[in-house]
Amino acid sequence: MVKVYSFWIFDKHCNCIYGFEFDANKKQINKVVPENKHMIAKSKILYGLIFSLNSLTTRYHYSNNKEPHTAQKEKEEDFDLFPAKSDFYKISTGSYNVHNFKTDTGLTFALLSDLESGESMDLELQYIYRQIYLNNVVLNPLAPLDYAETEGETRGEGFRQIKNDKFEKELYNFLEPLL
Amino acid sequence: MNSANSNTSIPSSSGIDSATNTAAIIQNDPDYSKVIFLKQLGEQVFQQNMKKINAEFLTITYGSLIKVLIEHYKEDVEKCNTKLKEMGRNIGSRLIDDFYAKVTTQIPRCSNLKDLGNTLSYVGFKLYLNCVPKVLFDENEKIIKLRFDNDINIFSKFVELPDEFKNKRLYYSNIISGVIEGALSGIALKSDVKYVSDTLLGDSTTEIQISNVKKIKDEVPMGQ
Repeated sequence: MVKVYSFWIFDKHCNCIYGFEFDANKKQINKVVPENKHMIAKSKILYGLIFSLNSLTTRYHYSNNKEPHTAQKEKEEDFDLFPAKSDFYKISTGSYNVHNFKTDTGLTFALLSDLESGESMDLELQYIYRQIYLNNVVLNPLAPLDYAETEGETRGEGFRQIKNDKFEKELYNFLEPLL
Repeated sequence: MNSANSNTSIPSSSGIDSATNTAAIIQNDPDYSKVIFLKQLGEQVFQQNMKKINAEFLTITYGSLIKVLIEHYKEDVEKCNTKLKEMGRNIGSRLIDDFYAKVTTQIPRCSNLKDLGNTLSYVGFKLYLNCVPKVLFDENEKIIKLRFDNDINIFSKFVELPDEFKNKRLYYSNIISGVIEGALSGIALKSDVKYVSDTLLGDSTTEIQISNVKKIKDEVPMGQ
């Protein structure tokens, strides 16, 4: 049985818009809120890891494919416009796995689990995106479209989080058996 | 059945091509199988995953929305056009997430603007409006034009504009251009989308033009 330690959502402005961590000792859930400096710092470190790994994998893919395209200049322009996706799905460390799912719209879903999960948890993350996140946040007309309201809140400096009871309830129902 | 549908539409497209006098030309696609695949995908997802509502209900609701807008802006058509586009942009940037969720992973990756236009028309429009506009490209394949034939645009079904709005050029279904712009901005593509002609205004065709497609750079966190 897979054990989930924490779950995070980052938007395209590099902000953590949702995140929680399950504390096994105290049997409680720590959520990312502006007051909780510890969790904010953690989210920034995790995003840094995901961001640099993604840029590494994408760049390697790019340089791998560059030679056939240099002959035709137009092709290369197209390649800039529609870059090939090459994100990582899972990394393992000594004590946990990081599962990553990046959508085409720039959202990043990340999940930290224990080492028991040999398989990638891509399907679970896609379910969270396609069913839970989509129905409760994206298609909710009263939820903000963009969690960075001003220019100063982009580039990882934002502080707004998803506040949506229905979303949280469905998410916990889905993840609770794994906590 | 799907393949039969797509086969029947091919002769009609070449027939209309010879009849029009625009600078754009319909491309005889070398990767024709791609288009067929997109058509079938659109048809299949439309049948299986989409909720349907009454089209006339939508048409009439949209009509009353336009009426309220015109009254609100005291018949200032410029403001109506911009407001409609802004509303469309808000819809589009939400719809793009829905689009990816509905078509799941079956959709092939776009590799050039031609693919983008075909995907927009055969999958995007098919799913949400159940109509397939014709896709035209200019010589360099940098400008995409979507042409709506024979009143397949359901928004303008029962509409006839009064002369004063015809002269001021009220683009009645300008919300569509906003939706396209918003959806493209959701996948980090900046573009200019606008109506170039509308049959409601007395033009011979209804055309939406997508130009200036640029990539928005991914944001980098502070300190990187």
